[in-house]
Amino acid sequence: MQRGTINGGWTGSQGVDGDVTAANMATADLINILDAVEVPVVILRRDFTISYFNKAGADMIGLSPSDIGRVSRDISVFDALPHLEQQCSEVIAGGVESRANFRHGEKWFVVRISPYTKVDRQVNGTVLTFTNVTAFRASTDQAIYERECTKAILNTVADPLVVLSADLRIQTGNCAFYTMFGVSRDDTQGVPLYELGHGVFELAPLREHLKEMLGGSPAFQPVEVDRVSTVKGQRTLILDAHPLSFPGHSERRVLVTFQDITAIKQAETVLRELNETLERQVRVRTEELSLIIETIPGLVWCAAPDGELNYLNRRILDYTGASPDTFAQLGWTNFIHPDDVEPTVGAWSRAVASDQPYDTQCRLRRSDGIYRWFQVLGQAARDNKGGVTRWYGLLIDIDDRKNMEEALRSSETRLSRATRTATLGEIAASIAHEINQPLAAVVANGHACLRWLSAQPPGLAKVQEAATRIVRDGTEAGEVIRRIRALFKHAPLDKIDLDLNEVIAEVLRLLSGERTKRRVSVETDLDKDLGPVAGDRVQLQQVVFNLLLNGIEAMDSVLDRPKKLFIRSKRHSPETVLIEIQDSGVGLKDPEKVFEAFFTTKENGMGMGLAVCRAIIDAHHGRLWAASGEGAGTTFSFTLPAAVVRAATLPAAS
Amino acid sequence: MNSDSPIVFVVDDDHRVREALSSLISSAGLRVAVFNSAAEFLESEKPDAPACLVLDLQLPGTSGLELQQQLVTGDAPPIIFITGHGDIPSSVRAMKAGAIEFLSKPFGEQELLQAIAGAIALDRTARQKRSQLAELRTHYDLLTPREREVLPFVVAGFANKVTAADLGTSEITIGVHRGQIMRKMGARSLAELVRMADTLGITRIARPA
Repeated sequence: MQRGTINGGWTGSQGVDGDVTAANMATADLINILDAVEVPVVILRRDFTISYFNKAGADMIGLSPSDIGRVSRDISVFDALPHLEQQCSEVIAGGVESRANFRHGEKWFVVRISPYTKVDRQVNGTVLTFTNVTAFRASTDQAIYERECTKAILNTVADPLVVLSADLRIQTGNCAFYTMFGVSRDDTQGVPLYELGHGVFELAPLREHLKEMLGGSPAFQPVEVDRVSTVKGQRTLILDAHPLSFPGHSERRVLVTFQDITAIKQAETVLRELNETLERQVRVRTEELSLIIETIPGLVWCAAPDGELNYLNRRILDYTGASPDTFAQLGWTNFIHPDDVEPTVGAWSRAVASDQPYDTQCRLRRSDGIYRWFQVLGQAARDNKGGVTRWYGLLIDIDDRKNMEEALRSSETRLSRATRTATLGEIAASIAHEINQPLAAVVANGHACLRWLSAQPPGLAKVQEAATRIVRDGTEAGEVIRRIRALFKHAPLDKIDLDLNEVIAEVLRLLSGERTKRRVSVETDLDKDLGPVAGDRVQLQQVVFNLLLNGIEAMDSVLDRPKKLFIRSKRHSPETVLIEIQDSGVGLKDPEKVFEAFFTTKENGMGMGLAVCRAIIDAHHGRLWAASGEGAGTTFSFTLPAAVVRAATLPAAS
Repeated sequence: MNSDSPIVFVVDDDHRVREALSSLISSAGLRVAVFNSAAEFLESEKPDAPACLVLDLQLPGTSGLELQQQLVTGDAPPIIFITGHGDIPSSVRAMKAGAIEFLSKPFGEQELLQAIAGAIALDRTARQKRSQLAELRTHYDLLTPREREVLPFVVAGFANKVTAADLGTSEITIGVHRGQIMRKMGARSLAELVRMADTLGITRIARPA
C-alpha cells in the first residue's frame, strides 16, 4: 500500500485522479470497501498522528479532514481514550492487539487497537477499529443495575440468606449471612452447608427436605435448628429453602433463608414460665379456696343467675351420695323432702325473681334415705351494674338443733299439759327429782363437815369449804322451787268460762271413795247464781281437789267429834267469787306457813301441794289464804275474778 | 398416802355432787378422783391401786349402766351406783351386772362409806389374785415344753418311773425335769406346786387305775 494513495483519508480519496494504474485501482477498491464499512477505522502513525480515517470515522465519531496529521491527543474525540498513546505504544512494541471502551455521545464502542503492519512486516503504527456496542451495552447496564439492586436488597434484608449449589455447597450469601456466622465470602465459597456452624445443620430431616426439594418437590418444610453458634452466641434458627432455577441452565440452586427466632423463643419461654407461674398460683389459690369450701361445715353450692346448679362441694355429694351428674339429671328438688319442696322452691323462685338473698329451711335426703333439717341460705354475687352473676348457697345441718327445739317445745307442751292434767303428786315427784341433786350434795357436804370437824386436829379449812357448799347448794335448791312456782305462774292458761259449782261437784265425785273410807261428811252451800269465772278447768280442778283432799286428811286424827267438811261458794263482790273449804281438824299454828314449799304436816307429803295451789290462784289473779278457827278446824278460802261483772243493784233486788 | 393407797373414782355429771362426795370420801382418808362423764373416766389414767367406782346412773352420753357394760371385761374396779330417783328395773339390772351397792340420793355417809370400804376390800383381793396369777405365769413361762409336759404328771402324784414310761423316757430324766420344775416355779414342796398348778388351771393327768 502506497503511502500517498491512502494518505489524506476519506476526503483525500476525492482527489484520486483519472489515470489510474492497477495499484491505484486496488487502492481505490480498498478505500471503497473501507468507506462502505459502518465501522469507523482510524490509522495512527508511530507519533500518534492520524494518517487515515474512513467515512464511518467521519460519520460516527465525528472526525474531520483537518484532523489528518494531527496528534490524537489534540483531538477532542479521543479524550474518551485517556490511555490511547500508552496502549498504542504497547501494541507497537508487542504486536498484540489491545482493547478499550470508548464513548462518543450516546454511543458506546469497543476499540480494537491492532498493529499497522507494512508489507515489510515493519509495524509503522496502529489501526483503531470502533465496534459499535451501544445496543449491547444498554442491555448489560440493565443487567448490572438489576443485579446491584438485587444485591442491595439482599444485603438490606436482616435475615441471612445463602445460595447453595445443587450439591448443597455455599455459593454466595448476603451480608447478614456472613455477619451472622462470622465468616467471609472467600472462606465459605464452595463449603458444604453441613460444615457450617460446626455441623449444626447436619440433620437428617433437613437433608431429607433439601433432597426432596432439589428433586422437584415444591414445598419445603421449614426446619427449626437449635443451638446454632453465631457471632451473637447460641441462637435458634428457622431454616427455609426455595429452589432457584435459571433459564438455559439445567443446574438448580437453592436459596436458603435463616430466621433467627431466639428472641421469640425466649419470649415464648418467659411467657410460658409466666403462664406456668400464674397457673400454679391460680391452682394453689384454687386449692386453698376449695379446701376452705370443702372444710366449712356446710353444704356449698353455686348456681347460674337462672338457678342452674354449676358447683356442688364434696360435702353435698357425700351427704346425698349423688354425683354432680345425678344432680343435673334429677334436679335438686329430688333431694328435698316432698313436704318441703313447694315452700323451698317458692322461696328460691322469689329470691331469683327479686334478686334478694333468701333464707329458708327444708329437709334434705341423706344417702341412707334419712331426711335431716337444713338451713338454706342463698346470696347473689353481682357485677358492677348490679346484675346477678352467680348464686352462692350454704346449707347448714340444723337437724340436732331443730330436734332439740322440737323436744323443748314438746317438753313445754308436756309440762303445760302436766300442770293441767298430772296429779299434783306426780308433779311433786318430778320436782323432787330436780331438788334431789342439790339435796344429795347438801347431805354429803354436811356429813363431810362433821367428819372434818371430828378429825384430830379438825380440818377447819375443809369444814369451811363444805359449809360454803351447803349454803350454795341449799340456795340453789330454793332457786329450783322459785323457778317451779314461776313456771306454774307463767304456764299458759286455757281459760274458759267456768262454773266453779260444777268443778266442786266433780271433785266431790272423784273423792267419794276417800270420803267414805275416812268417814268424812261433806256439807255444801253453793250459790246457784254464782256466775262463771274465767279460768283453766284442769288447774282449778287441781286446786279444789288439793284443798278438799287436804281438808279430809287434816281430820284423820280427829276422833272426838264428827269429821265434817264444809264447802261454800258465794259472790264475794260484784267482781269476784269466793270459795271456802272448812274442815274440823286440829287447825294450823301458822296458817301462812302452809303455802311455803316443802312445808308439810303429813308424813308422806312433799310440801308442794299448797304452794302449787297458791301459784295457780295467783296466775288467775285470785287470792288463796287460810284461817284457823279457835279450837277446831281450818278454813281455806280463795277468790277469783268473775267472768261477768254483776250490777251492784242485783243482790238488793233479790 | 402412797401411790398404792386405795382410790375412789366418782363419776357424776353434777358438780355439786362431785364436790360433796370428793370432800366426804377424802374425809374418810381415801384418795378421790372425780369425772364429769363416762368418757372422761375411760380416757383417764388410773393409778395401780385398789379402787372402787362411785357411778351416777343417769349420765349424759354413755349412761352409768352402759359404762358398767363396757367395764365388765378386764380388771375394772367394783361399782357403787348412785341415783337421783332409783327405779327398780335399773337397780335390778345394775346389781345383776355385778354392782356392789345401789344408793338413792340423798344417801347417808355410813351407807356410802361402808359400801366403798367393802368394794375396795373386794378389789384388793381381786388384785392380789391377779398379781399372784401373773407371777405364777412368769414362772410357768420359764418351763421348757418338755417340762410343761411333765408337770401334769408330777402334780397328779405320778411316780417318776410311771411318768417316764408314759412319756417314753428314762426315770432319771424325769427326775431332772421334776427338779427343774420345782426350781423354776419356786415351789418349796410338792403341795405348793400342786396349788400353783391349780391356780394356773393346769389339768392333772388322771391317776392310773
